[in-house]
Amino acid sequence: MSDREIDHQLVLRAQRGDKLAFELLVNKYERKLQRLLSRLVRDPAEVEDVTQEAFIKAYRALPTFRGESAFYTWLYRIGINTAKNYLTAQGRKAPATVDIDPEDAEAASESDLARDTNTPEQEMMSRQVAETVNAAMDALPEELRSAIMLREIEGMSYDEIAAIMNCPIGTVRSRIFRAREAIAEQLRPLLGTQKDRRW
Amino acid sequence: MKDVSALMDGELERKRVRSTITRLEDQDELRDAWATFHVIRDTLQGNVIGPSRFTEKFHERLEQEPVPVVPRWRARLPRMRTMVVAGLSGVLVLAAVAWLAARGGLQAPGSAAPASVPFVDGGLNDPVAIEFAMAHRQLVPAFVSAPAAEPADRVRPAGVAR
Repeated sequence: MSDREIDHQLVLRAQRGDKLAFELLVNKYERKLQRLLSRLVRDPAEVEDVTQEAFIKAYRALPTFRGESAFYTWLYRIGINTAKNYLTAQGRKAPATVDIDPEDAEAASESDLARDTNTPEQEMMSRQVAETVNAAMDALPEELRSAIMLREIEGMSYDEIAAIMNCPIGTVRSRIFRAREAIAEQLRPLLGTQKDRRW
Repeated sequence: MKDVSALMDGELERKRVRSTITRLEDQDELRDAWATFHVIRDTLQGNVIGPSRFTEKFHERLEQEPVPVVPRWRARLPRMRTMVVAGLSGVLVLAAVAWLAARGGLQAPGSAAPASVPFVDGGLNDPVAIEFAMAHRQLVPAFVSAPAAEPADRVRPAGVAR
């Protein structure tokens, strides 16, 4: 089942009143949406507020979502409109780059955002998280590191990774999972658990 | 947790998706893995946003939201659409089969043609074409039926030699 279909499954559950399913979508897209909106609304605290507002609007608009576009495309449109309305209400103008395509937003330069979206405290925490992830990646056995890099950075499917690494698809699934678990183990003290999660 | 990892990659077997999502909702540990694995993904992809208790604040807000009402028919729309398309396709196929059968164009391979079938069938009117088709009737059984014995009332097109 594709990523889009899984999002659709979660949306269907949320449409039936399952709030947890919607929170799983929020977990998945909160940082991407914040990153996108930080190109319009520069202040980090405002970015967070606008992102929350966008998710709430999306939640309220769930009955109108019919799955004709991908969930994230729909969500990003709501996010951009929310940010535009917010800026208008503040008597401010959206930057010229306001008509951001979701794909373009994802391709935005990393340095743009890391600097713009974070307060000094957040900046320090972000750096800590990035350093922890990088250190954990470096400590991984080669086959786990390659598998997760091909998946997360190159965006390859398990089939493609299996072909490149010359191993069965089940091995790819297992390597990617073990890599994530090893990195997550190092990250958990920084992030907290679900109950006291800071992200 | 392995299933959560495959699920977030869109690589989990279809039959296990539903049960995995249900387990995700039921177990804090799995939800924690889902959230952490996405932080790892976003960090590796450069979407690093500093901590702000976003999830916690959002959870509090969402708790206060009334559940949006989706009409039952709307929630079932994608499934209904699939069923309608499948139903129409079936009807079209049946109609095509019936039409071909009515024209006498459908015949099981190797089955003998009924004695009353006219000499020329399927719109062949050119005598040369008829002769050609008769000579190759094993290759074009759908267009030409050759009766075992020639009925008395057969209409033989002009110009076709016996």
